[in-house]
Amino acid sequence: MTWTRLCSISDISEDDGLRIDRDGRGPLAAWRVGDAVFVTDDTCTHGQASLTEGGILDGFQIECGLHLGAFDVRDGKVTSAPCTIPLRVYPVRIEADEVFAALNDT
Amino acid sequence: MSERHVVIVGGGQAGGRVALSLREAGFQGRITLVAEEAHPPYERPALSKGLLTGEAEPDTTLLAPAAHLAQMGVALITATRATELDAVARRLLLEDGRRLDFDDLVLATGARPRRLVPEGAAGPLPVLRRMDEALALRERLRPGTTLAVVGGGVIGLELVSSALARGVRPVLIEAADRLMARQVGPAASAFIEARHRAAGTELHLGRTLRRIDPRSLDSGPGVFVLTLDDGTAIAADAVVAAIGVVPDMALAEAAGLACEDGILVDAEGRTSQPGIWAAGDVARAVVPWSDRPERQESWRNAEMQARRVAASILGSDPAGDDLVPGFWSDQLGQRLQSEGVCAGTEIVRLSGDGRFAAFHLRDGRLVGCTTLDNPKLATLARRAIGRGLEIDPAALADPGGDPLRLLR
Repeated sequence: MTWTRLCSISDISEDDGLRIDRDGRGPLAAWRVGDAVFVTDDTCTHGQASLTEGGILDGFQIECGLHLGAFDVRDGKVTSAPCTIPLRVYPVRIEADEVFAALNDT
Repeated sequence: MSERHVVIVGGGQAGGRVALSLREAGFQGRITLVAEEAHPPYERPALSKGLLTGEAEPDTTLLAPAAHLAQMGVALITATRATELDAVARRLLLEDGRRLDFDDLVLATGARPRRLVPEGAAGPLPVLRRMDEALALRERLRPGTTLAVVGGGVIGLELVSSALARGVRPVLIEAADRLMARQVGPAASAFIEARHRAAGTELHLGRTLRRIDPRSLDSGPGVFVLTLDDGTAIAADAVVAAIGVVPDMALAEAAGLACEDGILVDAEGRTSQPGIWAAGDVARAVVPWSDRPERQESWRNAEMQARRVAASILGSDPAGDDLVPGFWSDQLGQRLQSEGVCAGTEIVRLSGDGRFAAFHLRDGRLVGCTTLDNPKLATLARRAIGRGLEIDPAALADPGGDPLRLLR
């Protein structure tokens, strides 16, 4: 696995997400729930909407602001229609305060 | 005892969602969906946006792939009109002579575009409501040509934006003195108008189309010449009328169901006839935010009302229910979002980066919000409207304040 540094934990507001734009791929989202961090794609699988920009994180569920579909940020599973395609999630490793994700293997 | 049979009329957002929600909630009986169009249930929003610009294709608009519907046991009858409903015998007749006996019937027949037949026209002007109409229009949007749009509502303005994206010169004619007059407040209209003018749309506000003629030799380029009520002549290669819709309730009316600008339903989607339900653009429903039944023409309403109908059929609570009305519109590369109703006092707020927001307050409570490219604010506003947040108008308008914090 190749681990890519994305951000520091402290960059992410608690119970919220941080959008991370990286060259050559769609935007990512780093979610912080308490002390846990999860990394997913940032674009909703249903409509063209940024989850970090328009969504609201309730516990582990991110609800998209555009169509009100929702996912679990832990495994990307759809928790509410109209979404049908799961959200891609990436393995995360935390070292000290730094968030790393494996972006190529899932 | 035979299996319970739910028949759904309509292959749009509402019809498709009722079928999917019933199955997701574990309904074991038969489901038959009858659609007038040749396509499986699809979402309409892309028709005036991505489908015209080429960013979306017909299959990306489907609620679920046809194979998925089949797998879920939804019998699909497409390209077929339902012609007669017998509400007492619980029977639906289709144009091909088929007869469907039902236990529950869901009318999700949607709406039809208002027809516009100006003087000089051989028939009604083209409209944009259906997939095939959108695909036909896409072929006509060739760079360097001129598109004339009659109607400055959501569909008209999205058409204009898509035309610009394709290198087409848009001209828009609107009878009211401002854009989106039914959907946003005056300040939001003015902001949207300025953006469209800056983008190069030729706007004719407070004007109506008087007649249309084939091009004459001295009228310059374009296939048609449109003459407005003030005598202005406009040459255009294509014309679309986007002047609103009327509910498609003929089937319900003929069957004796209570109708008045829509099929009248209660908060759960029940019509005046037991076991017959309505959802989506055609339904005029009891809603918590108005003292009279309201008909809503939005994706969100079609989605949420369909979930409520499915839950009501099963006698359960709908999942993810949201009663705050709302819609979005993509124009000129920006996303407009409207939450709640644009009634009461309109308070305008421009953030430091020039992003526009308008809040609507009634009796000290937030009842509506229009934002441009500010999805977080829209989401928080929807929730604040839902719980009837009391808010200080001065704090909202304060350019140094943080509206996100005020709405949390």
